[in-house]
Amino acid sequence: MKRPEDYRTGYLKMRSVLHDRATSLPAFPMVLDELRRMLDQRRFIGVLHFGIDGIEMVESLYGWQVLDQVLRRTAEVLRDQCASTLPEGSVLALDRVAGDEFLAFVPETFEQHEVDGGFLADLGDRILERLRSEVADSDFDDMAATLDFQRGYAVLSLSPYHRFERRVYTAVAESRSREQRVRERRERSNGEELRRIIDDSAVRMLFQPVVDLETEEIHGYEALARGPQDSMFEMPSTMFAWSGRVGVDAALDRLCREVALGEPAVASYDGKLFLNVLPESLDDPEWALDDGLISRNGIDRSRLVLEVSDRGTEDPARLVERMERLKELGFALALDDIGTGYAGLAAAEKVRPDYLKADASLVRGIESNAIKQEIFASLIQVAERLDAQVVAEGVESAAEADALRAMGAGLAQGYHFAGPGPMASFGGKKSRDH
Amino acid sequence: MKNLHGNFWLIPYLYEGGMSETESKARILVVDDDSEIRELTRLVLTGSGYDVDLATHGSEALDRIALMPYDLVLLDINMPGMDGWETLRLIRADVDLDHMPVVMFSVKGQVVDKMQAMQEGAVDYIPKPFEVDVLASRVGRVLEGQA
Repeated sequence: MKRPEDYRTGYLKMRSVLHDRATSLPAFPMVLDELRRMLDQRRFIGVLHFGIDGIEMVESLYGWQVLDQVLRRTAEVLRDQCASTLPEGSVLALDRVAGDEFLAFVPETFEQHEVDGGFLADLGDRILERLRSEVADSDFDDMAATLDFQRGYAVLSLSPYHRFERRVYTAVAESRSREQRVRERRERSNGEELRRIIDDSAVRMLFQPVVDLETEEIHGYEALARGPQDSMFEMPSTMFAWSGRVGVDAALDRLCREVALGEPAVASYDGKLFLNVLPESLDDPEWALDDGLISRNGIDRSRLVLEVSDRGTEDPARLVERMERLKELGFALALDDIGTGYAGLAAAEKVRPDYLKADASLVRGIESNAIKQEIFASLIQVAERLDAQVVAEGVESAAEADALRAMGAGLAQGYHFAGPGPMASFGGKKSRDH
Repeated sequence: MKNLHGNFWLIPYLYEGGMSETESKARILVVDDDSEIRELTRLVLTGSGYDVDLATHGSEALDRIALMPYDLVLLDINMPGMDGWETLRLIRADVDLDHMPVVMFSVKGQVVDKMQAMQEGAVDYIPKPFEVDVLASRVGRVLEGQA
C-alpha cells in the first residue's frame, strides 16, 4: 500500500524533471494537453524555437550561475512577448529542465488565419530582435560578443494517421534543425574571421596588477590578450572559445605568448608576470630552449608564472605531468579558475602549483554568501598545505576585498584595485589609489 | 535603560540577554541518520533558543516539511535511501519551498561537495564534526538572512 507521502515524493520527483527552476517554465511534455486542445479548434499550430548561441561558452567562461541568469532573463523577455507580440493563447515551454532551448507554440487566431512559414519567420525575427536588444545587448552586454540568439520554426498540423505526441516531437525537431542551420552558417564565418586575426597577428596585450591584499602593493601582472577592438573577438574568452571550435588553439595561444613577451615594458619589469597558457601548449619545446622566445626577450624564467586552467582538460594526470616538467625548468605555476570546476583542487594537490587562482564567480558577493566563504576557506587550507599563494580574481568592491583579507587570502586582482591596461599606465609599483 | 515607550513587558527580556529569546523561536528541522549527531545538534540548537524537529532520513524530512515549512533545514548528505542531494532537489522542486533555506552538513567536507551544495541551492555547508559555537553562529547567520 502506498502512503500519501509516497505520492507526494513521487509528485515532487516528477515536478523536478518537468518544471524548470531558473525560468519557471514547464518542459514541453507538460504542455502537450494544452497543444491538443489548441488543435481541437484549429488546423495548424506554429512552433517557434529560440536557441542561445554560445551557451556552452557562457557557462564555461562565466559559470553556471550566470547562465541561469541569462536563461531567466530570456524567459522574462519571452513572457513579455507572449503577452504582446505573440498571438493570444500562445504557450511557452522549455525543451527540457535546465535546458537552453525555448519553444513558443503559436495558435491561429481570428486576425491571423494562416500560421505559415512566412508568418512564423517574421514573428520569430521580431522576437529575436527583442531578445538581442534586451538580453544580449543590455543585461549581459559584457558577453554580448559571445551571446546571441537564433530562431527556427515549423508548422504543426494534426493528422489522423499519426500519434499526436509524435507530430509535436517532429515539429519541434524541425524547428530546431532550422535554427541550427543558421547557427552553422554563423560559425563558419566566425571561424574565418578568427583565422584572419591570427594571420594578421591582430592581438594586443593588456596587463592587470595582482595586488597584495595587506600592503596593496603590486605583486605582479597578469597578461590579458585582446582581439581587435569592437569585434566579437575583443575578449580573450571569446577568442579562445572559438579557436577551440575551429581548431586553431595552438596558433592563437602561441601568438598571445609572443605578443606578451615581446612587450618592451615586460622586459624592463622585474616582478612576476602571469601568463595564460593552454594545457596543450605546455608541451611546446620552446619553453626549454635557451635561445627561445623567453631568453630572446631578456626575461628570466623564474619571473614567469604560467597560468593553466583546469577547464576542458580531460586528463588531469597528463596536466600534472606537463606542469611538473615546467616546474623543473624554473617556471612558477598557477592553477586558474578554481571554484568553477570540480577538478581544480584535486589537480592542485598533485601539481603543487605556486599560486591558486580563485575564480571571480566564487569571489562575487563573498562577503554575504556563507557557502562561498566555506568553499574559499577550503581553498585557503589547501593552499597552506601546498605552500601556495591564493589569488582572488575579479574583486570589484571594498566589501569583497575586506572579506577576502579577513579570510586570509594573500593576493587579489580586479577592478577594485585596477582594471587591465597598458603596462606603462601603471607606472610605479604602488597600486592605484581608490 | 532604554526608553521602552510603555512596553514594560519587554523588561524581563532585556535583563535576560536581550530580546533574542522572542526573536529566535525559529523552527529548524535537523535531518541525519546518525542518532548521536541528531541529538547533539538538537541540544545545541534548542540551547540557542530554537524549536527543533528531527528526521532520520530524506523522505521523513519531506513529510515533515509538507506539514509545515521550516525556517531552516539542516540536511546531512550521506543517508541511506534518499540521500541529502535528492532531498534537497525535491525540496527545491516544490514551488512553496523554493526559498526555504537549506544548510548541508556533512562529514564529507570535500570542496566538490561544497560546490555541488551551492549549485543545488543550499545556502551554507557546515562540515562535521562541528564545534558547538560554530554551528550556533552559522545557523544564526542564515536565519538573519546574512547567508
